[in-house]
Amino acid sequence: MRVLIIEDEEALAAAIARGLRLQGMAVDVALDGRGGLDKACLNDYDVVILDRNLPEMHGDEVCRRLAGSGSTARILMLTAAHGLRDRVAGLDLGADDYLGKPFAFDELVARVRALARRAGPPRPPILRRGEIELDPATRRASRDDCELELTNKEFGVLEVLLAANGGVVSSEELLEKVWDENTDPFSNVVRVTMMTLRRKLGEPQLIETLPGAGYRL
Amino acid sequence: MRRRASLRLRLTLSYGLLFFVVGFLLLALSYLLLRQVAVSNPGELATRTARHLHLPQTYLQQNMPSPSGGQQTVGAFMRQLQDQVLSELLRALFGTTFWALAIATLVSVVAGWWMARRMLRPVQEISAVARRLSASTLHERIALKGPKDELRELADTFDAMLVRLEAAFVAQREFVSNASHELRTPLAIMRTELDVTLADPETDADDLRHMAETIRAAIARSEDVIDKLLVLAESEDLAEHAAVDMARVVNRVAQQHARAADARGIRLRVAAQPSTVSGDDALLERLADNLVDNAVRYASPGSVIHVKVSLGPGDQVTLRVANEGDVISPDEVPRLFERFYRRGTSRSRRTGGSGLGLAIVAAVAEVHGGAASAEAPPEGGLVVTVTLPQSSAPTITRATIST
Repeated sequence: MRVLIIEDEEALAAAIARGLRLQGMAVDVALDGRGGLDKACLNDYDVVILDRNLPEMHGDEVCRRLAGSGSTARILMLTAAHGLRDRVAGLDLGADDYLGKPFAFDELVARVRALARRAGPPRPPILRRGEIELDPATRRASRDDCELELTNKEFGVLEVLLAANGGVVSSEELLEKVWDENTDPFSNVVRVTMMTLRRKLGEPQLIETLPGAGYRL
Repeated sequence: MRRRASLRLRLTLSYGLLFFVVGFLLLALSYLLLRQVAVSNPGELATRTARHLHLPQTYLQQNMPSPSGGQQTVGAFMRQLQDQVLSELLRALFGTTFWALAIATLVSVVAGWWMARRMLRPVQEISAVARRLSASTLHERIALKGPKDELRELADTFDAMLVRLEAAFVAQREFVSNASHELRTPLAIMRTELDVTLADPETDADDLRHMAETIRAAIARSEDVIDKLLVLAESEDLAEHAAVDMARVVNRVAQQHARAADARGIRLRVAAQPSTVSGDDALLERLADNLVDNAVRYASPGSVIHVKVSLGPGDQVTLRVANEGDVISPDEVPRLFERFYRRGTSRSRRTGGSGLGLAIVAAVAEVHGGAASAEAPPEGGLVVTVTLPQSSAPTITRATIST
């Protein structure tokens, strides 16, 4: 799951990013509205956490442009102004959810996850395919009721493969969804992670490699 | 609702009563006049009629058989006839005109009732709008149409008041929303930092130290904002009128900032002429403090900040603080005095400004009857000038709430 935080308070942005990374999400940060919009247009995010009071470009404007750009990213507005009027205005601009500052971090995580579920085709809260079961909320994955010990990246890759529901996922897509912008796009992190994930999933092999196309579960 | 109906009723009744009284007086007058003609001058009409008909006196003296029996002269008969006709006329006049008056009065009451409604309709409109108005519908206006009369003037005055009220409300709402943003943001930072650090099972001493530092910075920021909001609230009204020497204030403030300036290689050059201002010592010190603090914060490292207190022009004391620094566009200059305005937010957040410093300067200057202005030299930096009335002629005005 890939998340963009557009927040001008560096300390807050850093704390949210750290917390979301602990939850295994790939997180990018932008400190002003224009830079945030650029990043959102450049990369394929599942969720954009958007502050309203932003320099360079107001959060409302970012929200309007993002919602109008046909991006599939879900927008969570995060702001200190959370009167009824502000919430209605925010949702009317195209935000998918609204959370007032200060907030409980668990709630933010739960909302981000709920929004990510709605990004792209609808998917259930617990992903299942064959003997494999994965619960993003509790961060547990199992095969045949046998708990799997996965790292954050392995978990992320498995989640994307399960969400594709039998479709082919390219390694670029995996890189986009599971790793953040600081990853070298030519590195072999996807291949390495896929190797360790396959080993942990055990026999018989469930993940197929389709040369030149990607992977399929 | 009842009160309006009662005004309408009162107006109608007044119309009706007035009409009746005037009509009655007119009728009574004509009755009395007619009567007087008949009574005070008996035979006058009969004599005139005889003259018009060319009846000679001899004819009038002739006897004729009376209709009631016996003999009487023609003249006497004519007079008798005249008296009878007159009294018949008067009776008829009294009876029928009374009814006519009654009916006309009734018509006037009905017309008055209708007229009163027409005249009072603008009042109804005004009160309907006034009743509907609340903080969220202050954009509504009466916009009364029709002739430029007293009621139209009332409605227009009311509309003008609404314009001012709405502006004050918008400014107030904006201020509250900005203030709540400024107060909530440090809270959000603390809460998130705590939540995330506590949720991480691998938190070590370094993480805890980092958390503590972040939280301390957030607390310092909250304190700063609360402190400045209090100063702003205090500077809405001037309680004290002491004689304050601005030169001493500025020297004191410059000393307090000397170390911070030194740390950035900045020199503070103060040129202060003794000049007395009447006002609040603490507020005036905050004014000077904010100006110097701002200058030190935004001055380019290694530059010189000029602080100058001088007398004039006129009966004024001028405080001028100039620093070198980034180029500021002239369009942006007036906005610097707005509450919570920051330049290129993320950058100045790093320098720790609350966006209230210059707003406080403007508010304090204004409450002392002075003014604050700024100019941005094309080569960069900022020059802020505050003028305050000299103590000999202190003119104290109240600061307005608007930003």
